[in-house]
Amino acid sequence: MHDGNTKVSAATLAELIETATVLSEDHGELVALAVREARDRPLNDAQARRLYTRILKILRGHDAAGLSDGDRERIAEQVRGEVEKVVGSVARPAAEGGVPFVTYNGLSPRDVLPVPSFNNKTIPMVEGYVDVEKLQLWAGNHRLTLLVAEFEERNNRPPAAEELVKLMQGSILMTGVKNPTDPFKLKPLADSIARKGVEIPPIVTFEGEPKDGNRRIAASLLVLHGKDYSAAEKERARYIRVWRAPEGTTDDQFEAIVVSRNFESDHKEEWPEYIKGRLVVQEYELRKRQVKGRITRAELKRIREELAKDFAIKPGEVDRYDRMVYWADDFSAYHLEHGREPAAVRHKTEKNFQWFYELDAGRGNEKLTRRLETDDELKAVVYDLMFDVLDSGAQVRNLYRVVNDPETAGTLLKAHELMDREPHRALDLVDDAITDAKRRDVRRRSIGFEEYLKSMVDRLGSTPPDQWNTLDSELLLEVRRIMESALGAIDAQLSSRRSRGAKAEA
Amino acid sequence: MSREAETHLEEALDRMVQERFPEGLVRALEGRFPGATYADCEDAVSMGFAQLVRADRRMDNPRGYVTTVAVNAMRRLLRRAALQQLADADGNGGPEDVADVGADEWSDPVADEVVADDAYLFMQELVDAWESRNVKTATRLVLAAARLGEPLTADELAERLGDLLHQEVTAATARQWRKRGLDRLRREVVDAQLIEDTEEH
Repeated sequence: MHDGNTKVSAATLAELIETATVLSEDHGELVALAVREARDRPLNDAQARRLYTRILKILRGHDAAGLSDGDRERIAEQVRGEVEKVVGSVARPAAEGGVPFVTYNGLSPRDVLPVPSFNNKTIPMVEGYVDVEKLQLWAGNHRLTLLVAEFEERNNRPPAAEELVKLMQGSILMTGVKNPTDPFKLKPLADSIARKGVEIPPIVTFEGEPKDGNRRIAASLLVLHGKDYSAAEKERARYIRVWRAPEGTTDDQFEAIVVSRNFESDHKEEWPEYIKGRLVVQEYELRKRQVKGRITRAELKRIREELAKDFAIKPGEVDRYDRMVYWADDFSAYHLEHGREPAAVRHKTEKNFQWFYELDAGRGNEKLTRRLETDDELKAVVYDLMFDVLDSGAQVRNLYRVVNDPETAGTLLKAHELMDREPHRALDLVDDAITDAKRRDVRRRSIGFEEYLKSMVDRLGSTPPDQWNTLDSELLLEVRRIMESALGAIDAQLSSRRSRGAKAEA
Repeated sequence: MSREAETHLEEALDRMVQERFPEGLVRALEGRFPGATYADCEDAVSMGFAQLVRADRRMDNPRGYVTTVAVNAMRRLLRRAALQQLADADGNGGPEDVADVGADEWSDPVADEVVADDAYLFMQELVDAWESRNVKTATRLVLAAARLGEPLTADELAERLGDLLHQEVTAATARQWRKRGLDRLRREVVDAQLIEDTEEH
């Protein structure tokens, strides 16, 4: 038995077991597949000639050691003849010059049928899987135009293939990029690809340049080279199904593809939020119930993450739906208890499902939902107004400001009292209360602003230039954005003062 | 091999070529191993035929033999490529374990043989300690075939087991014993923490 001191390496042991497994397995399915493939997908001329030359040399030359030169020449001639015979025994495809296909998920390259039509132009395509690393992003993509132009200005050359990927993934930053960490919103797409692969096949030129699907390809590369994805997810992202255009497809045909893929809506109707929310929460509850004993925070986090993955949403959204459904149910229960028609309650709750997200606005103890937990009178006021008076989510979002200010909270109570008799007047009162609450809020925030600005002037004025070196680009861009907008406000203020001064002098 | 058997094999090989089985197998391997290059698949098929000719023995299913050898060759080619990639990724020759594995495995064929022999003997020792004579014998045969890089079909295994155990053994039984033996072997080396558990649970 093993004495614990063996010198045999793990790799060699694993290799031997694997070899034993492979060599003793029945590969009948693969043999059958090979027979079919020989019939359906012969190699091209050059490949077949090389393969059969190798094999026939092995078969005919294995006992050639004692042969004379003449015999060898005769065998070589015989091999050449046999090779030509087998190569010529079947019609063979032209040599592939384009991006190479691989057989994957049981799909060998095949014609797309019916022949697809793009903006009234019919273009025959071949469908198959390719290794995503064999594709090079299209620099002429309209989304990329500005970034590519800026890159060329800065570097006096067009971006290389890997630089195009970096431009899309945000690791090379150009000015004017709105979201520097993910300028093309690739991360959510990458997560989706990791989960279920690329669903809509990009359309590529014969050589493999994507005329449609640059984002899908950049996102697949993000999965393939990212640290956050498992081996199975990387495998899913590596081989993607594409439609390959034939060699010689003209620019106007590609333009038709681009236009049809980017301008024509697929008329897909997304599920309403309340359906998604209810489904997610139902499943969330079920999974929580399946945990034996007390659920720890870590377990809850894990459940949320798994659920998010299964429903293609972010873990934070599970929480959001959970809260929304909780308040929607509370709202329904309140109105049913107060004798409202169940159908009307259901309709109101579903139609305004988004309001239950707005209801949770504010920070910490400022939140209206915190108050609603403990204050039934306030709950009655808010829920009644939500049912009969309010007509927008923005009003619900601002209710927390209103109830946090005694004066505006009083106006809200008045609106509630008036609600049955004069609903329009009640709505006006709510709007007034919101406007007042916002103004007061701004005023509160303006206290200390002057002091803050003075300290900022001191701080920035005394900052040595080399201190900026250590800041990351994202922060610098953010500072520049804020400063530019602040400068705009300052200029406007100064200019207005100048004109007031001019008027006063006049 | 008898003249009759030799003729039989030659005819089978000629038929495989006429029916263009080699190119079908290249295509099938491309599908089975999408990460491999066309050249890898062509190499693997050639290796299958070369080994079949070298084996120089009568066999019922030469297509299965070539396919099995080719699949094993693909696995080895891809493993070699992966190790090379890891070593290339590290400018100084890679982390120790990678350098170790790579160097032992590929750069010194004599050392390879010694290491593989050690692994084989070690496993045979483990198997010898088992009680079940049937599973033990089946596993020893499978390991011996693996050591030689020779495919061993369930029919062939059953035939040899019948000779050794002096009893009738069907292919299905041989397949079952082989599976149990390899599973147990894998479990023992995993439990002894000699290799990592990579099985799906």
